[in-house]
Amino acid sequence: MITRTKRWVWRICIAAVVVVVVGATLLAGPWSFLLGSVTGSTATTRYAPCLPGREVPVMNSPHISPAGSASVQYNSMPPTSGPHFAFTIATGIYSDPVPDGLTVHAMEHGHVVVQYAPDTPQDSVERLESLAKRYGKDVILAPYPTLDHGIALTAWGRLDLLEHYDEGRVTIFVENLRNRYDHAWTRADDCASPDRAR
Amino acid sequence: MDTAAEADLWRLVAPLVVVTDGDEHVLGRPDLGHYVAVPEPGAVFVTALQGGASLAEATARASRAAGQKVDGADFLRGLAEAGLLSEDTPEGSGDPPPTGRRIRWIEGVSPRVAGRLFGRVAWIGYGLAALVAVGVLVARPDLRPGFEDVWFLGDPVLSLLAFLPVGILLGAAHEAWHWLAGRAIGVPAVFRVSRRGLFLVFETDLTQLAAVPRRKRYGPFLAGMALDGVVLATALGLRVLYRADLLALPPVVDRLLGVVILNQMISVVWQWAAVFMRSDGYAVLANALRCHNLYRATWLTAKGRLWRLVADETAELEAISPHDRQVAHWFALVYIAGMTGVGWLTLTFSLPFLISMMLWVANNLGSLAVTSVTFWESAAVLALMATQWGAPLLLALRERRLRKMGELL
Repeated sequence: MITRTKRWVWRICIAAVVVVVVGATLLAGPWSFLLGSVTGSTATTRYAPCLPGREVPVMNSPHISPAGSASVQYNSMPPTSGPHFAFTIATGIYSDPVPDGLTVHAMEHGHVVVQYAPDTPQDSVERLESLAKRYGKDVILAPYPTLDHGIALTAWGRLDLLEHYDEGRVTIFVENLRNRYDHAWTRADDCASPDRAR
Repeated sequence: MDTAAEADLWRLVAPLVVVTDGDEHVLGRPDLGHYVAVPEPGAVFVTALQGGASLAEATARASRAAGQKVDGADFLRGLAEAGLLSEDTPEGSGDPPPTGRRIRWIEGVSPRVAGRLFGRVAWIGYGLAALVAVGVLVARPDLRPGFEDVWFLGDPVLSLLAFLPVGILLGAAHEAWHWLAGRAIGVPAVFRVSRRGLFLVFETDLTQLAAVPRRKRYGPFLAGMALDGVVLATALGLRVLYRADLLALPPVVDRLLGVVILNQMISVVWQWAAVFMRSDGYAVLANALRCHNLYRATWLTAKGRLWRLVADETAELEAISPHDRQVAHWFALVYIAGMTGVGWLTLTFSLPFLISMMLWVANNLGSLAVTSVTFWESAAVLALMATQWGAPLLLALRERRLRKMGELL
């Protein structure tokens, strides 16, 4: 037979467990991630001259529909932030162009997007594919017809344009900028450290 | 019991199977899918009747086994109330009442053929596959699944539609492996195609495992997860080879493998986390703990601790064996651990996926013309998601109402 006192002890114990689990969830970050999934991101540009590529001011980045994407004006080509679709895209290699609304969302989750112009030599594309396989969890590789020439490396608020394939430059870009942002900046850039400079 | 019924005793108890496993005794009707655990004198009593003993002789034997006088006629009434002496045998004896369409061609698989998939060598293979999968997931964080893997194509609806048949196939294979493992030990388990809401589901009825010793039940309980492990290890292995440039695959196949890995990981974690929903993990644990009705015992014990039990629930709990009630005192902790696991799955995979899809649908329905294809794609997704997430809630409410009305046990 459970007494009234014992019943309250059980209730308090269960409530304590729930508070601990919810508190741990809030501290661990999924909450901010889920909130970001609903609202998108707001502009918080961060200048880091030691990182690869150049800084691109971060735009307000709400969720939009495919219809809304037609009127969006991004502040770089390809974009590195801004309005995007509510769903994202898996990392990996794509043989067809991926809409900006998807690549921007992927960058909002900390991924690096590598896009190349239609005139990129096949051997360069194959090397890029090899690199995309090596960084399979981080990189989206796709053609980008709007790009006249060369290869565009993009991460959240960061852009590097290459005339030709340069493995060292691509690798440094991916290594330094992957997972730098995930609905919020994830780490200090530590630009004082010489090994982070280009 | 009147004289006519006593004369007919042998015919009434003949369909019963008596299973003794250590100090456990189970009486059952394989044709009806009904089983009850009984004390040793109960098993002695029924065995005596099946051997041609009269009611008085069988009662005397049961009394000797019990070490005290027992009431055989009362025990028979209990069996009758439990439905074990029913003379209504369903058509196609050996199967419980069908609740969905059965796949008849697959029921012809003989235990000898099925046994090849569950011999010692096969289980070593399943174990190795599980080790490979765990090893790759530990050593290669880049191959661990994430919710983004779902969108392996550039269009969310196309991604869902393209994976749907693969997901159905994997679900069917999981259930079929349970069924084959049952066949391998000679249990006439039933594999069914059914539906929950608008969703096609596959079910394996393993009720008749109650008629085999406990150590033989692990195979059928673990078989689904064993196959999940093989699929997981294969998909991970292919991705490892592809990323090492040792295997040429179309990139879309590599991304599809990512969704398969996600699906299989969720399946395995779910089986061990959803013990409070009678998952495969629950069946394994309840079997290992030698329990018969641990699920209800745990819920009722927890409810009694946190709230209160109504008279019917108190009676139900008291009717459950003392051993099950004893285990239920601490098994609620396993439920809580499982609920935490399911909560993690929801936060990490389901909720981000659901939020993204719902926002996409809302944006499209609010901004696109009703003549556009994407508008109707979005409407279809909305209906699909509402059914998938709303149906379980509605079913739970319905079950609660029926249980309160006494129409559902």
